[in-house]
Amino acid sequence: MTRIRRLPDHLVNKIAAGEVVERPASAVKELVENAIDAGATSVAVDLGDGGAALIRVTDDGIGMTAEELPLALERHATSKLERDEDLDAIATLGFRGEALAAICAVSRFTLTSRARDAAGGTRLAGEGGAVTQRLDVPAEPGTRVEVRDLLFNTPARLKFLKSPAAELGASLRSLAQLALAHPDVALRAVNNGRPVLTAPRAAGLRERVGALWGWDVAERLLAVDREEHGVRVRGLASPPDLTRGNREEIVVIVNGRPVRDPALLAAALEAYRPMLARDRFPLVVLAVALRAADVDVNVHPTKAWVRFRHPRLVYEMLVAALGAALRRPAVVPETPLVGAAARGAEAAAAGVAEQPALFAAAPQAPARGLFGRVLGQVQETFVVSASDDELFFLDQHVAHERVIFERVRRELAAGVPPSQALLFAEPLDLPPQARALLERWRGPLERLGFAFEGFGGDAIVLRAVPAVLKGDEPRRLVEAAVDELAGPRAGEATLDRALAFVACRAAIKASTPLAREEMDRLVAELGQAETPFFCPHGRPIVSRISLHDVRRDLKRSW
Amino acid sequence: MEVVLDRDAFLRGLQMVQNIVEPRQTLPILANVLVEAEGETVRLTATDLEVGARVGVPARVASPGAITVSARKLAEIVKELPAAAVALRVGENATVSLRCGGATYKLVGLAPDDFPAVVPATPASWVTLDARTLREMLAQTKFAVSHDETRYALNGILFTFQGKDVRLVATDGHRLAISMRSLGTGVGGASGIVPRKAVNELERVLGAGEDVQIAITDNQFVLQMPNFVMTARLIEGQFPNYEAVVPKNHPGKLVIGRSVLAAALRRVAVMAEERNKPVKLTLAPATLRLSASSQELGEAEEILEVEYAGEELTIGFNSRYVLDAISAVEKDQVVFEFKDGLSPGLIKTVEDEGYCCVIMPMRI
Ligand SMILES: Nc1ncnc2c1ncn2[C@@H]1O[C@H](COP(=O)(O)OP(=O)(O)OP(=O)(O)O)[C@@H](O)[C@H]1O
Ligand SMILES: [Mg+2]
Repeated sequence: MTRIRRLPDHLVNKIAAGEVVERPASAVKELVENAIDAGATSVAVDLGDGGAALIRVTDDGIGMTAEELPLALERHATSKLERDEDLDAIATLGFRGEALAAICAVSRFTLTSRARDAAGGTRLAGEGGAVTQRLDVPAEPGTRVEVRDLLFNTPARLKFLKSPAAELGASLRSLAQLALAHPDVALRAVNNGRPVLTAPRAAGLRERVGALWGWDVAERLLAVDREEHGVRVRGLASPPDLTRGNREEIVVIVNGRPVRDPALLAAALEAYRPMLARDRFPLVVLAVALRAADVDVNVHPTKAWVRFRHPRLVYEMLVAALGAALRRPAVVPETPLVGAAARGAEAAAAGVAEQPALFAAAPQAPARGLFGRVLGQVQETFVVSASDDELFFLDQHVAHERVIFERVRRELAAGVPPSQALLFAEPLDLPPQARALLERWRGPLERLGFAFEGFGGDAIVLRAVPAVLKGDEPRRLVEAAVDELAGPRAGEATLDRALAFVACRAAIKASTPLAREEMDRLVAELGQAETPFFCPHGRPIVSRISLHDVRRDLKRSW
Repeated sequence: MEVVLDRDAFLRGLQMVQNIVEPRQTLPILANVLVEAEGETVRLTATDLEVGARVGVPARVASPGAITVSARKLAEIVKELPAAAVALRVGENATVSLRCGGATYKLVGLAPDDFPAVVPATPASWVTLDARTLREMLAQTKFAVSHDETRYALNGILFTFQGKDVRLVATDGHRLAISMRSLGTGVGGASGIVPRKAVNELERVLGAGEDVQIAITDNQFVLQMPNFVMTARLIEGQFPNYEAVVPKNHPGKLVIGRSVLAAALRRVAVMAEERNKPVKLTLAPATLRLSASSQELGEAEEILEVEYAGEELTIGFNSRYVLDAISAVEKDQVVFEFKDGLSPGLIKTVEDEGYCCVIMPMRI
């Protein structure tokens, strides 16, 4: 007798199911994906205990005929791959013919479906993968899959399920991501009879985000749209002053499929650096579209990972698209006054339909630079400038901070920023903690032009400071550095953070009267900046008022 | 109070004190000048509580008295008056009427009672030197005074009297300027930091020729000239140990005409970054190469034939610091001394004339 045996079918299915169905959320995701693949315009999800007790997904898609329905239950049975080559260019969410079989193998299930042109529907019911009942039933066109007691026959895995609230949370995350990937599909979810997610069919991503994350959030998001080298990145991203404490609201969708790719996530965060602290995260929904042949989706049992043929290209496109959005004027946190025209353009970019104007506004030549002409200073803190159609209020401190930040960064790229040696070397009496901190930040600080001596010895001595900071008292400067770099926003010792500190210190303070020439120069330099709308700490620099709105308020129609 | 003054003398007097009045005042009376008539003089006094000055103007005093009026308005008026006699009278409710030729003014004054007293200390001894020398010494140090308000000990010039020497020192932490003169006589021993504002006022009032007397007391600097006295509260604080940072035996010596160096520095610095105007000096036997570059602008270079003995070296400076240091001397030839690219540079005159300036290099 041989030790090696062939596994019986039901066991094979159960093991396979273990890969696909980890928890209720995975079943929810697979079922909704199937509905979307079936061309549904509306999908309803009924959950019991977050999906642990019940998952019922009802769609109005193409449905299945009485002959197709039993096949759908079989492993490796799919309508989505017809030819071998199709595997290299998958355009649907499903492709393995695995999910339904897996789910049914570990639950008590009922499948009801009616193909669009069929006279009636068919129902299959059973448990543990075996069909025990087959009926012809009257049904609406479309499909309903009902799954009860998921994992009832795999006690080991059942044990690992979390509380119903936690499972519901996981299910909702999957649903929200799919909802963001398919704004044109109406999606509703109910848990124990209570609505938990309502996303009506949306005309565009912004509308969908509004339904999911709230309208106040959706309105502030910046439109992202960039296409190059066959990769298109579209979506919405928060301005750096709108953040969250976790990454849950960073969603990347590749060809309609929400994916969890650490490299893509890192790329998204990279674009925000150094505007965000390490523990703050933006809200981002990006849909990456590229040729199906350039992405391999068949790399992970839950299809959450993908592999790109040209990964660097995709990551760089993502960074570039986000970066461009963060730099564009339209990104400025809009006061309610911002021009309807601008909003229209943004809405159009996000794919939201809007009533076009009868006469398109004539394109206006930009009035000297991004922020126009300087008018003056208000409260010795804001520089006011005007272009032909907008009035700008620039916060002089953060504006200058941004200008210095970028200048020193250029200097860094070219070599060393100038550093001024001190005539009287400054001994620094630091408490041990501050000393350790300074030691950690020594590298970045010295790159920027500080020079310390005597680490490891008794007293640390400051020998030089960055030339931009030569006006500051050296000791206070170091104390301030220790304060800021120890702060909760500092995170790990990075050059950008240290640079942000230097720029902030070197920048003109608020409540400082500025001469005309200083303002002109500041505004011109800011206009040339790479990221003119946010300071290195993520604070907005500019507030705008549309003259269009001013005209409207003053009832001036010409 | 009723007086008649000569308009020109009045104006000169006002101009000697008027600047002390700060444009923005918390105490309204500090915006005023105190006018006191007694004997054959009208005394004008202004103060900002830190610096005070009093000048005497000859006058015909019909009736003595005192009043305070807006320093700015009074100066503005007298400046516009024709060169003639000015009659000034204090009426009811501290109103001041002023007449000159056909013009009359009525000014709202304030009673003198609340005007802070300006009391010059009575120093044990005075140091006498001629106004030109003091002026020159101020010019040789003032530029190095720090503008950083948090470093208050550096916000003025350190005056030191010792043996027969008067020494003025100023530093902003990046450069240090020393101006020293030996007087024929002993000057006692005293030192104090005179605030920048007083230094500015000193420069304004010092004439070309006459002798002036200065003194440092515990907490005051006092200057007196005929008909004029100025006091300034000394800055309390520890002036750094500057002697330790003055290089003693730098081996590299560059001798150069200061106008040549200044012109070349200015030409090259056109291409240097705006804030610090950093310029690189590369020294080799008999040549000095000046260069500057900036990411945004481009670069500039100039080569000069010079008298240089010493090692080859490259050192960077804020060119403004060098320009300040060399424009403070009168003779055209200056000596610029170096050790290496990281040690301070030292600027002096060819023959020791009591001036030197230490400048810390910049890493460029
Ligand atoms: N809601 C539905 N409406 C119409 N057809 C469906 C529906 N759900 C499943 N099917 C059919 O059943 C087949 C099997 O579904 P299943 O989810 O098991 O595999 P798949 O979607 O092809 O691939 P994957 O395992 O990657 O999800 C599908 O190919 C499809 O033809
Ligand atoms: Mg599927």
